[in-house]
Order: sequence, then C-alpha cells, then structure tokens
Amino acid sequence: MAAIVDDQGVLTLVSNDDFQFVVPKRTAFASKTIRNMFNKNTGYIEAKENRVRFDDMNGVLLEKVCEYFCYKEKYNGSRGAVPEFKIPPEMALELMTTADFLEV
Amino acid sequence: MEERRADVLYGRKEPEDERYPAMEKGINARDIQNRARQERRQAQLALEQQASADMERLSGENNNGEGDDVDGENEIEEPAESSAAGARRSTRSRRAATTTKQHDEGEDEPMDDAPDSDYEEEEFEARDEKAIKASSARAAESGRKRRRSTTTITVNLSTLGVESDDDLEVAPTASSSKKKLAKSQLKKAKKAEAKKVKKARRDAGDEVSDDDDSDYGNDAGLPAVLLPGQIAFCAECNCRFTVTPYSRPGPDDEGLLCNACGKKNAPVEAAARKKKQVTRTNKKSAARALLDGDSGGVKSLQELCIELVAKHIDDVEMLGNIGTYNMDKICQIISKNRSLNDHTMKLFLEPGNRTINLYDCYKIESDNLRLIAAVIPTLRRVQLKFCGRMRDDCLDYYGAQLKELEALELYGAFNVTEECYVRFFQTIGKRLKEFGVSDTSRFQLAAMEALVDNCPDLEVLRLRTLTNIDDQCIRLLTGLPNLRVLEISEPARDLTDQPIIDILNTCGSALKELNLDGCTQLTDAVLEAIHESCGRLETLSLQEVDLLTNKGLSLLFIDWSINCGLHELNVTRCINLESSGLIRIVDHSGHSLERLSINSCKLLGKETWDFISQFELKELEELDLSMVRTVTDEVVEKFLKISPQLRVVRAWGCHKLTEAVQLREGVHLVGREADILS
Repeated sequence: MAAIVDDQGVLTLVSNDDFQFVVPKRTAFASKTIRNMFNKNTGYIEAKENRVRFDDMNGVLLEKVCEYFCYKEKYNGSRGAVPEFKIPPEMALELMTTADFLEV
Repeated sequence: MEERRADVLYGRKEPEDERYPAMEKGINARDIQNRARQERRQAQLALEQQASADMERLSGENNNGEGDDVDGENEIEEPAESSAAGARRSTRSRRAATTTKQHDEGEDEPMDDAPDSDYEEEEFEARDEKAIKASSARAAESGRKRRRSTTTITVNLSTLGVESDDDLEVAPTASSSKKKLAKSQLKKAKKAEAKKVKKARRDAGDEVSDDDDSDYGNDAGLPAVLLPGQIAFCAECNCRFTVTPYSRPGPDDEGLLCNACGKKNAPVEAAARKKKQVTRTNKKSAARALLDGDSGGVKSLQELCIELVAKHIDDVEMLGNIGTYNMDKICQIISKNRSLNDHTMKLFLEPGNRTINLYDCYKIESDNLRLIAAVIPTLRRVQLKFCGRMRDDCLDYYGAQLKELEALELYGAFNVTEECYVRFFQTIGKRLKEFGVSDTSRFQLAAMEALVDNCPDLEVLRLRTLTNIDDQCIRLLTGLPNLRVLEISEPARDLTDQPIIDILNTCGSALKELNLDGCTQLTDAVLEAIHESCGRLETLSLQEVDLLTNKGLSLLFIDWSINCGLHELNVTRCINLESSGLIRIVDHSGHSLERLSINSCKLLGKETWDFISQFELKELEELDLSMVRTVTDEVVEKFLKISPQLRVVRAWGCHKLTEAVQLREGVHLVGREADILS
C-alpha cells in the first residue's frame, strides 16, 4: 500500500512543557518519523489533528529540532557553502537520541 | 616675452620673487596653480621632444653640434653665479628659444608658457649640475652617442634626487617632470600637436631641438627610478604625496597613485583576491569530501550531534542510553582523532553489551583493557585494534572471565607471548568461533598448534602481517574443517603453493572468503585449487600476487560452474592480467560482482573496454580503476552505462580522465587529477 501523504499546510509540534511550534508540513517531513505519522493509510490521530505531541522533548529541544528542519529545507541540495548548524554542546547527547528517534 | 605674459596672468610684477626666491610667501594657491601650469607646459614640451626625435630619426642630421652648445652654455653660466640665479638665467635663455617656437600655440593656451620660478629653478639647477658632469664626455661624442650620454644624465639626476642635501627641493622636480611625461601622453591629441611642433621646429632651428632632446632624456628616464621616500604627484588627482613601496601604479601604468586614489581600487582587488581564495578552498574541501565519500549537502542532525559529542568527548561524564549505533560511531570518530584514552574508553563500557569495538587502544593501559572484561562479562565479540599495551595477564583474564566469548580480534598486541596464546586457546576451547591476530612476531607454530587442537569449530581466521608464520604453520590449518573465512595476508615469510592448496582441498568447499594478499610466491596452481574446490566463494582477494598469469586467471573463471559468481574480487597489482582474463572474469561473475578492483593492471587496453561494454554489471557498486593508464572519460562512461548500481569509482593516477566525464547523480569519482590538482 503506497504511502499517501499530504504535505500541504502546516502542523503543530507540542513539547512536554506545552510549547507549540507551527511548522509547514513540508518542512517537518524532513523527519521520517513525523512523515510516517501523517501517512493517511495508517490513520494515526496526529494526521487528523495536524498536531504532534512529544512527551519526551522539552521546549528548548523541540525548538532546536524545528530550527534544524528549517536549516535543512533551506540548504538541502544547495551547491554553495553550507553554514554550520550550531548546537550547544550540552544539548548534543539529548539531541542525538532525539534525532535518532525522529530519523533526521 | 615671458615676463609680459606672467604679468598678464598674475596681475602684478614680481621681480623680488625671482631674485630672492627664499622670500616667497610659502606654498600657496598660486604655487599650486603654477605647478599645474608647469605640468601642462612640460607636457607640451614632451610632445615637441617626441616630434623632434621623430624628425631626427627621419633626417638623421644636424645633431652633432648641439650637445656642445648646451654644454657650453651651462659651463659658462654655472661657475659664474650661485646656483639659483644661474639656473634661472639659463632657464630663460633656453626659454627664449622655446617660446619663439611655442608662440604659434600660445593663442590656444596662453597658460602653457607661464613661468614658474620654483620648479624651473630646481629643475634646471639639477640639470646644470648633471650637465657639467657629463659635459666632457658628451662634447666628444657625435649624434647617436649623444643620445646615450643624455641617458647618463638622467641617471645622475635620479641619484642626485636621493643623495643631495636639499633633496626636498630636488625631489619635486624629479616627480613633476616624471608626471609631465604621463600627462603628455594622456592629454593631447599627439599627431596634431606634432605637426605644429614640426613647423615650429623648422622656424626655431637647431637649438630648440637640442634643448628638447635633453628634456626628453630626463623625462623618459625618470619614472623607472622613482624611489620610496620621494615626493610625487598622483596620476589621478594631481595631489602631492610621498612615494612608498606600496604606491600603486596609475591607470595605464603611467605614474603612481596617491594613497587615497590607490585605495579607491583596493576593495575591488581585495574582493577579487578573496574570491579566488574562497574558490580554491572550496575546491579543496570538495576534493576532501569526495575522498571521505561525503555526499555533501546537509548532514543529518544525528551525524551533527555525533560529531559534536566526539569533539567534546573529554567533557562527557556518561553517554547514557544512546544506542549501539551512536556509540560505535562516536567511538570511531574519537579513535580517528586519537583521543580514545583511559578516561574516554570507560564511556563505552556499557554493562550488558554483547560487543565491544575499540578502534584505537594505543593509549589504553593493559589494566584498563582488563576492565573491559570486568565491567562487561557478557561480551561475545571483542575487537581491539592497536592494543600494543596489552600484556599476558589481560588475555589470561579475558579467557577466564568472558564465559560467552566467541570472537576475539587482537590487532597489534605484540606484547602478548606465545605461551599466553596457548593458555588462552586451552581455556576457551571449542567456544571460539572467530579469531584474528596481526602485527606480532610471537604468534608462531606452538600457538597455531594450540589453536587448531583446541578450537576445531573455528570459522573465521584472520592472520595479518605476522612475521613468523611459515609453510609449516599454514599446513596445520588443514585441521580446521569449518573455516568459512580465511585470511593470510602479507606474511613476512614467503609462503608456497602447497600448504595453501592443502587447505583449499580440505576446507575449500565451505570457504566464502579467501584473502591471500601479499603472498607473493603463489602461482597459478593455487588458482587451479580454488577452481576445483571453492564452490561457495564470494570474496576473493589476490592483491599483489604478481606471479599469477593471465592464463591462470582466465582458467579460474572458465567453466567454473560450481561457483555461481563472486561478489567481490580484488586483483590489485596482478600485473599480468590482460584483456582476455578480465573478460573471463566479467563473463563468469559479472552478474554478481559488487566490488571489483583492477588497480594497476596496466596491460588492460582499449580493446578491453570495447569488449566489456557488451556485458552488464548490474550489481557493481564499487570499482577501482586506479593506475590503469588507458582509462579515459569514455571508459568510465561505459562502466556507468553497464552498471546501474555503481556508486564509487576510484581512479587515482588515471591521467587521461578529465573533468568532462559525464557522471550520474550520486556517483563518486575519487582521485581524479582534475579534482586534486587545482
């Protein structure tokens, strides 16, 4: 069954401390995990509500993830020099497991 | 004549000014105006000089007496009076001639002939002195030689400009006259002027031409000798400035620019330089990325984090539950950076793990290596590279402590003694399925015997760069019937065919991987044995086995029906491989080959590539064509055409490969000269 994914419009990412990030779907789909949530054939509730809650991410972390989504959308496939994506070292380990989970 | 004109211009007479130049009221606006006028006048002079020079060349006559005339004049006047007045007078006498001639043009530009006390004074003063020096020589010389002597004068003037006590006075002369030349060339429509001048010259006679000539000599010589510290006038804005080593040449290389004007162009040049540099570093980093197999573009967030953690590994107290993939990646990166040490190594000891890979243990003490077994007694696979500090007690401890150990690879453990290996094999017994050892001289016959006797279920054996392995040791391996992977690479002693053939006869049918890199004494007989017995072989590496012939390699692959195709073949530096051999290889294994290295097989020629394009290499992912000199753009394109999966092409030293080669998206071409040399 082919994946049917509508990448128009926006979705909302919510952290465990209730920070909300409204991101264009196309941008957020850099994460395969999020993309799979919005596969209509699987019928997850996230796809209906356009809203994903991450109980193991706080606002700061989720903000960084959203920042990376935008960074990736902007520079992916660009020929020129790609600027460095800044990550605070203290966040690196946490972000690494998050990235592992989100498959970004 | 001159006097009159000056009066008209300045609206007053200035006799005092001429007689007592010191009393002149400083440098003022008038001074600057004068300077400008002076320049314009000199520009015209220069034109006239050129014209007269042309005339000379044309006529080639009546030059002989002139040099003497000038000299005589100078000689007479110079000793008689103090420099300033004398110079002025000489100026005027010379002018007398000049002005008559310039009279024609006077109506157009009356300013041109305006007298300029300061500058003329200095200029002619200088010239007089020079003239004296050179006079005797010049007097003797005739037409052409005279010209050369004029050059001498120029040089003298320049040296004077530097050396003389009142150099502030002399320097402006030099620079201004230099500038006059620039102006002259820039400003006027030369031909029209020149015609006029010629006419005038005819009227004025020889004296004029002489004067002009000496002027010409001065002017022409000066730009070349403008030295730092001198005062010059900007070729663009005419302002006065001190020449420095960094003064930029003016437009069309005429004159120098002052600091301000020079800076105007500087940003453009700096930007150009920067851009050039940037593109070069870009190219360099691109080449490096290509070498690392980096696809470029945006890295995944996970990779970015891993790199960051690896960078700050010393500050990490605990990695926590980050998963084996992440942990292994971090370990690889910090091993590459050589920062895996006693401290950081403990981060990777996760109790309950089944596997540990430490890629660079050279900083880790033997006691800490023991710690691995103490913290993780459940280990099944242990791989330690560069563990030169490992001692006997550590390996003994592994044997006793790791009850589930199945696979052990110790690379570079040269301190571990043979007795210890024997004890280890006796302790571990049948459990051992995989064993690898490298870079030690202590793994010898006794250890090998113990291995074969105690571990009959061994499936993987890797013996790399061992110094004391000989035919006798190798023959013992016939006692290991379950071997799937056998690697005997780069032994220090020469191994002969027979023991290898014996092994292949006993366990060849089960072998999936055979690596005989660097066993340089092996011959075609081994290939025959492989042909006979190795039905399941998937990986064959025969790097640098250079006695193998093309015929032998061909025969291996002809009618090799028991084998259904190799996945990986490395015939690097099997230098006898020819077209026919490679075609047999492709014919047999082309459908399954994933990696192929024909590095340095230099006999492969054009006909090979023509023929090979008839086949299809549908699984081929990596191809090494390095040092095959006949590889061209066309060859690579052919390979890309017949192998849709191709990802990496190595082409070091293929000098015919150019930037023009058409690559598919996602294909890495590594080692191309055009990428590296730039």
